[in-house]
Amino acid sequence: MKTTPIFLQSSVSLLPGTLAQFAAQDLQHPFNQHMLIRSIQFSLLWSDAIGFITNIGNSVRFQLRLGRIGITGGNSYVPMWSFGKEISNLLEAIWLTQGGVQYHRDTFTWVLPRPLLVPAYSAQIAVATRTSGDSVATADATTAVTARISYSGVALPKGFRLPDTFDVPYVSAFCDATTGNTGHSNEIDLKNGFDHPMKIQRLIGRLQYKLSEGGTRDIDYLGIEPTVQILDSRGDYIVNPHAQFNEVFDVLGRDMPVRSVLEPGQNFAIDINGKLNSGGTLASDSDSVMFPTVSMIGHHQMPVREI
Amino acid sequence: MAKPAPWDEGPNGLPPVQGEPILLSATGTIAPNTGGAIPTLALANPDKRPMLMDELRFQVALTGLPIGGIIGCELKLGEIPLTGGFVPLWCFGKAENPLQEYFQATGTLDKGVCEYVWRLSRPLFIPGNMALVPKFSSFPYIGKAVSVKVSFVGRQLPPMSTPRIIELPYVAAYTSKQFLLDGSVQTDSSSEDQLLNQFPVPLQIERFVGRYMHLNPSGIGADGSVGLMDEIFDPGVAGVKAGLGIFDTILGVRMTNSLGDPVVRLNTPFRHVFDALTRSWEIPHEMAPLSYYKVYLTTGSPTIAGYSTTQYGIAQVSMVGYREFDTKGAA
Repeated sequence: MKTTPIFLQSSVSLLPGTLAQFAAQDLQHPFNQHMLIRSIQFSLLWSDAIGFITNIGNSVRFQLRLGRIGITGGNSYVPMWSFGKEISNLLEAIWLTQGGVQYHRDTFTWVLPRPLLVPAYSAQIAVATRTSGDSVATADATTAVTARISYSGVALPKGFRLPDTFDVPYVSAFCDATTGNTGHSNEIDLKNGFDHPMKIQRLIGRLQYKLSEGGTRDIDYLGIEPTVQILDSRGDYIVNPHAQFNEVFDVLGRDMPVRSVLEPGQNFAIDINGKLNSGGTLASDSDSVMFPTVSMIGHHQMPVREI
Repeated sequence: MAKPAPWDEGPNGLPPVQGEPILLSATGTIAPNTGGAIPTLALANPDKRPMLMDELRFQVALTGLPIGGIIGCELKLGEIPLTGGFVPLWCFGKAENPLQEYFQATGTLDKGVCEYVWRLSRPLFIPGNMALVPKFSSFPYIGKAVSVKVSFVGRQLPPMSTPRIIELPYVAAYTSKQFLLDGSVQTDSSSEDQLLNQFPVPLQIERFVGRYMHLNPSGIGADGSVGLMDEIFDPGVAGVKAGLGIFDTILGVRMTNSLGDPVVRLNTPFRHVFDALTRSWEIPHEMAPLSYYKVYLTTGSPTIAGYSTTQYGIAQVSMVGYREFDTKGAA
């Protein structure tokens, strides 16, 4: 089948506590051809006074839809770094000093578990939001971040006949509160809310750590991070209590492979304990709170007519 | 999804996966601003047995810090072109870890080495009576002789006749003009004969590779400095490898196909299209015979502090794929 590569992108500017929708026309094929999207890339660019690597992948979150079908779900928007497996910690967040100004760029690429068919004339809706107090800069309320989203795939030939059903990738996330020593997901955070089974590819666990001198990043230190317990809808253990967060979600990929089916209405329940890290050994940062997020990534079949 | 390699299934008269491992290597010195060949006898099977080549490795070395964008390689299987002219060495395969592509020893040794690997998705069948012949060309940036090493890694097969249909890799590339890093808006575009499928059969394109380097002509000196760096090294502060790729606005890219259809629709940050880790856009698709892609580049702000008007950025974009070749026909 003769196809043509297509790369679409759009950007918005985000202040803390704000929300912005990407221009839908930027994310549509200009000649209204069907497309098959293989990956979605996110990036954040800003400048501030912080002179070291800072990754705010938890603070900037996205909601994605294809027409009426949600690609993201759950109780909140999905953090940028929770869409998939981490490929390179070194290149996910970079910074440099130039002319006395610090520039930061955080990126994340989500290679979809199955290519997403985007029929002509259907709208790809993408909305980004940024939490308050993400500590991007000392005066972060005035520091705008440019958030960019890109869709990469192929345009299908004219005359391509749409199938009756298609694979829809799906992500939902539990974003823990920013206070307290424990956290518990609710039943719609990581739930299959559809009326058909969903194939779950993996769970992603990210642990944002707010540095006392400003900025945020992942925490990689084994042994001082919170513990996590994961149950299924029947109350059976998927991860038994007292497992260290970075043991469950491998530091290299931040993931836990699942490769199973979540039946309609079923969910995963997350319990986090030890966020305050009172026994930690992180020197001046030892009293900082950690913000865990756990996301669920999979795909399911939907009728094309429901777009 | 790519179909299974024929070598795994044993069609086309070939045996299933088998063979004895073989690595053939040759080294040469490429004079500045010119071309050169390396001893190709070393790259032919010593027993004239057919081979399946799985990967090519390129190594560039010189005093100072070398870079894959300064040397181009033209590959031919006998007289059959596998490249569209000279392709920069770092534009064949995707990067697996850009931070590990470079090695440098300072002090009395003061030798820099960089290495790039092109892993073929479809092994290349090399008949026993043929050789894969590389030619090299030094692009006119640094005016220094460069040591180049090329290695073919694969398997040698028992004596056999050439299958009727084999799959041949193909790479074509475009190198931009030198963009002045003064924050001004400048443009450049590829020509129709650069990212071209020159064959009357479709090309199965696997990826586009995008590389970017920084040229400081005044940094070329007798002390070994070459004044040319991968974006990842410069101009990050000491100990931080970030580089120009951080700036979404410093280089934008737009692409079309030969019908004018959008490929990269809007002017998009270079490192959005070509991923920062792999330096590539992985996008398997079929490219029509005698069609081409056109790349449009635009530079912009910010002005890079300290670069004044004497330093440059150079982008290189390649397309990498393969085609079916009828060894009894003319295609």
